[in-house]
Amino acid sequence: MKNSPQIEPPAHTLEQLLKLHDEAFVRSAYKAILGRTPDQGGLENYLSQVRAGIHKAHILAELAQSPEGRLNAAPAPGLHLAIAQYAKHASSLWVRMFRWLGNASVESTDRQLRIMDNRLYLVEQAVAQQTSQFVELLTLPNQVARTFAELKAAIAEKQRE
Amino acid sequence: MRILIDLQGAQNASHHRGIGRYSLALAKAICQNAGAHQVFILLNGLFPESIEDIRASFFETLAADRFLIFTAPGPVAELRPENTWRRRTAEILREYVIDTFAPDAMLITSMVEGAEDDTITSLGSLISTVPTAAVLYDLIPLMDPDRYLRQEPVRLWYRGKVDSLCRADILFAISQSTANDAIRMLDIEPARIKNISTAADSIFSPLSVSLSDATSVARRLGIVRKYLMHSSVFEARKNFQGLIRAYAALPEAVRADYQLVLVCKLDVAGQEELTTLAGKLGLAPDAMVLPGFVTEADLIALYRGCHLFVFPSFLEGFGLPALEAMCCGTPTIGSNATSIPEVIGCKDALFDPASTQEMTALILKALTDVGFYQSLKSHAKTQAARFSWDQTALRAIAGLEELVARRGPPAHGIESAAAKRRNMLEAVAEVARNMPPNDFEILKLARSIDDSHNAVARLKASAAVRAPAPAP
Repeated sequence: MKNSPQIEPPAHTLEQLLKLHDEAFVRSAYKAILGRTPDQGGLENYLSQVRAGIHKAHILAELAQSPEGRLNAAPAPGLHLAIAQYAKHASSLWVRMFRWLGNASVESTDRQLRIMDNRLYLVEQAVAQQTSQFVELLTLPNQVARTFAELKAAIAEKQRE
Repeated sequence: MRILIDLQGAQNASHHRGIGRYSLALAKAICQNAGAHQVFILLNGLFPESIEDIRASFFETLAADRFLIFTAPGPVAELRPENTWRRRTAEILREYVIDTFAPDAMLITSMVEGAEDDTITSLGSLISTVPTAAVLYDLIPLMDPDRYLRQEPVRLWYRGKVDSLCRADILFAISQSTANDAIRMLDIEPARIKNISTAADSIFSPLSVSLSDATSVARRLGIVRKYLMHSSVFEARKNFQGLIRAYAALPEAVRADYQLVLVCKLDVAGQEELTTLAGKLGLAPDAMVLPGFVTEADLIALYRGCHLFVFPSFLEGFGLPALEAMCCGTPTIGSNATSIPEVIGCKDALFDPASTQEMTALILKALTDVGFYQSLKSHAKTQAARFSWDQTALRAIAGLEELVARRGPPAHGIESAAAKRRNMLEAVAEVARNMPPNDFEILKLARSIDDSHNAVARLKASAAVRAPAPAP
């Protein structure tokens, strides 16, 4: 995907993985747990889950417990166990809070927060990308400036017609 | 003659589909049969990952300096309205690149692209003197608009692509049936369309897999008896349902010896639809096998081990699975609709796809009449030999040669580099009139124009082009 962040440093620990967002998170999770880059279908599936506010630990657990995940325990030793424990912990904590409140509002608020968090990340990425593109364009060779001027002149002339 | 081939059809998601494979196979066969002609490949810089793969796949066929890569500011997918300025200027930019490279002839391997990805295809955004051919695969959306062109944006996108196709100096149809459709539905003069046909990849051959290996693949996929088979994408026009009905109508005693294997990628709904239909018709659960998506190696094994291949489709541009099956030596019968009779090439092996009765009768004949079965088997071999990529490429090259000979000297007045540039600037300004762009968009376009311009200049300065152009 074109608007994706550039190559992320590999994430090896659960903590590092959970700090990542959006596509960077899905790609790193695949790398760490399955030892490969995601296929298009998998990428789209998990990306839509992250963007819908599904807890990242949940996704990691799902990957780790998939048949392929079980086979590929090697790439990140210890990570599987940590994920399983974290997911268990998160869900049990969950259940308790859920009972305490007696309704689903916590889940939906929490989920909304995760969605917002991820969106904020995407906005930051977009701003950074625009800025770097702009800086790049500012340092372009003279030839481009001439072409730019030519285009502007042609457009202006057309507008006068 | 210098031939420039637009190979974007092999760069985008369609490279998994038939069109991507067709584009690549045709381009390679043209390179191998080019003789004194020089071939160049045009690729889109918005698909950076695909460029090295394609270059590598031409290793030993085409030198690395024969590739021209143009760039444009993306994204340009047409179905997203926010892309309109970028898409329209990208189309102009691509045509400008072709115009400045000025090949003797241009071949576009796939025009109907770019609805949802960054493929950029058009013809006629600029006034150009480059004689241009385009491959025409089918006009299926026009034949069934209620199914394929329901949404307005899709309809507009498709119409734009068909308009571009109509502006080609010559169309290369992949079957006579498709050529006839274009003459009838698009009002193309017969002289402007030529059937260059199709071929199957050479790995579809009885030599690619032994019968015992084919049997073990079948066992792995849940096939335990002899089997009838159909293979395609899962769409209504492919008539999987009709085949299930015809199979169910076979006499019990005959049917019991054969399973029905339907090879296609299925989602849950599709799987349920077919299983429900089979159940309603009283078929035992193991009578029909749905292996889902299979690898190419498994597909070849399935063709090879199949007792009878049945291709009941209503609508095709060509009907490649029927040819692939015959290339594997498998007796094949099929529908008498659109291009399929050309592919199967035997009147006795055809049925009306809308008639369960006819389909059942012909299947039954193939399964019980030994003489007929043997004739289908020997026909498969002779018919398969009638199609080859070399022949298809030679037809395309001959079409381009005729086109260049017929075209004569280029029209006066727009040949100079300065005139081409004015032509391009004028076209961009025309787009800007209706949707004024901001300076940032203009600057990005300026950079892409220069990048692409430099790519053309580098290619023109390279050894490949500095050598005197071969005579047209």
